[in-house]
Amino acid sequence: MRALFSSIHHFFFQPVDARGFGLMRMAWGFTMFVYWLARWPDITRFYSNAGMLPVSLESIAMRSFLRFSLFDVLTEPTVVFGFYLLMLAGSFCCMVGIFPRISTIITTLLLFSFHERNYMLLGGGDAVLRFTGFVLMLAPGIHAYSLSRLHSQWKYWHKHHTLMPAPLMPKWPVILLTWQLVMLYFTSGWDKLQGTMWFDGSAVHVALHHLHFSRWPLWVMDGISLLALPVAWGTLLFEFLWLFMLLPSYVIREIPFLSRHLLRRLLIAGGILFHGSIFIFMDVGSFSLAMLAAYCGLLTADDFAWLERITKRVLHNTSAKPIIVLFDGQCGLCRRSIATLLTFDWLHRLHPVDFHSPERDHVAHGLSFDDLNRALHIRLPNGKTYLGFSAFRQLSWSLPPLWPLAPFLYLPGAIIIGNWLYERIANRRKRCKHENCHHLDLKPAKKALHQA
Amino acid sequence: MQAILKSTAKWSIVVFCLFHMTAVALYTIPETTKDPLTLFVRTNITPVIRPYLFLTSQWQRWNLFSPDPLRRITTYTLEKETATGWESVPNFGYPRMSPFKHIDYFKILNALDNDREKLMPVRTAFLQSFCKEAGVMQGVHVRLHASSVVLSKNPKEPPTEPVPDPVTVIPCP
Repeated sequence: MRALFSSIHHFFFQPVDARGFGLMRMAWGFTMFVYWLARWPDITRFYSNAGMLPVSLESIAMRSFLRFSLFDVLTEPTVVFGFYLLMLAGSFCCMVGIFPRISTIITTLLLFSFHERNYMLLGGGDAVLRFTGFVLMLAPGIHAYSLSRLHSQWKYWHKHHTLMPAPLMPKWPVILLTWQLVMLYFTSGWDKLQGTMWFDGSAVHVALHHLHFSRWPLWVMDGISLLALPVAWGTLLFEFLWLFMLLPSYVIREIPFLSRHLLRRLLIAGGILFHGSIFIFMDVGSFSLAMLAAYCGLLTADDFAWLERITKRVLHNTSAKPIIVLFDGQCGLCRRSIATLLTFDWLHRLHPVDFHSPERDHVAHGLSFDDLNRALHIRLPNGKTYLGFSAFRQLSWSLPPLWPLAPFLYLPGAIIIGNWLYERIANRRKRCKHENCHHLDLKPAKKALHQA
Repeated sequence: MQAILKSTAKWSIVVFCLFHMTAVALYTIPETTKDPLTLFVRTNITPVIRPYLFLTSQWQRWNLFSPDPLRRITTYTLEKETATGWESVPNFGYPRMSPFKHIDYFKILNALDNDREKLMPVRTAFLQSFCKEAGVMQGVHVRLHASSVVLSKNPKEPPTEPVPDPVTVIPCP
């Protein structure tokens, strides 16, 4: 009996990497923000007493029992809109990780309230957002990849000169998420078997040619329809394959060439192809993005290591040499900036070097102390050197969280504004407001370095 | 004492997870399934788990494009009454009103069409909500035209000829 309890305990509480859930929180927040922002002009029409469903009409369109919505009580358009803005702000905070716990709870509860107020609008994507939000709200480890964690990272880095290890959490939220996805795919596949159109591929043809769903002109959809039969059968196979996720590892091991890791990765890859294709060719609301966000929660430490290797190989031509970042180790702001950059360095591409340290002589050939003291310098593996805003712009291509920002840094005028901003910040760094700023002691060190 | 509390909390989580997983599994059984076991579950067990799923907003059905996808395509035109006749409301060129609004309006109009008689007051309120932004005065009418075609299962066959749906005419409040 004790062995049974122990194995149950292990099954639900074994520590797993929490970065997957951190990433899921970000992707969920992004999907929520984008899709709810698009509803901005229609919020009062859909959810307030001044719109299509005043409280007096709810009884004919909605279930009359066990339905709770804040907006059954707060029905004024301005109040509803105010809560809508709060939910948008909450989604944004979830995405970037500002108070991730509280923002996830507020956003999820408001999402429930909006959905329960008018479910004539609901579709598959909304249900996915609801269950993902529910799991995120309960899961212990959603603070990975959050701005809130930056401060702890900085303190840890300040003390240990290395970043904190990846956060861990118990496995039960991953189990809930996996079960939910298996049920989604299995029951969807089961329901398709009750019809007739999925067997001969006509379901795919009809779905692609439905005016309300197709994103592309008819001739494009005609072309894709040539693959209707294999796509229909592939969809059914993909949906039923998710049942394999319920098999114990020792059973999966018995299947030739298969392991749990491989199975999960194959299903995730298949899902990215499946939902990515739906997103490209059909307008089904938030469903595709919400599903891809939910997949993030299934990623393990091995997956992150694998993704890191693949991304480095594809994007950075597998260069073993890191990017040298030369910074002022005697300035608190600079150290804090380096700690932040390292937090964003998911691909482990950066090698920070304090230019006051002897290591400078090995990595900063051709750069004088005065040069280095003027601005942050980076040296790429190919030997090119950048400084100031240009250095930051180069780094943005190597730091995944900054990828969305990177193209905007090349807009006309960005270099002028960037340089001006960088100069202002760099000048202020000597003002000793950022912990342990020893710039007053710099002169002897500088002199000694010059003499050396 | 602390160990007992910790252990109780952990086992509560295990029980909650098992209950939640069972509830989700039973509720998502497709409605199209009619075998005796499913009917028994639907009659006897689903009512027990339904309150939990409703209260936590975790109710869900995964009948996406199933058992067969929707073949009826309905296009809508909203018109307002003018001194010379009827004039189209420009922002309601459904189904291509706006890529962001499109899917929401599809779901609403589809739901209103599926239960036309029962949801007529909601349909009226929905159309009245456009009066202000269409600049229609109180007492002046707006009307919703709809016509439907049905896609053929055979890719080589064209859709059916458009069939007009009943026109809804309502006065603006």
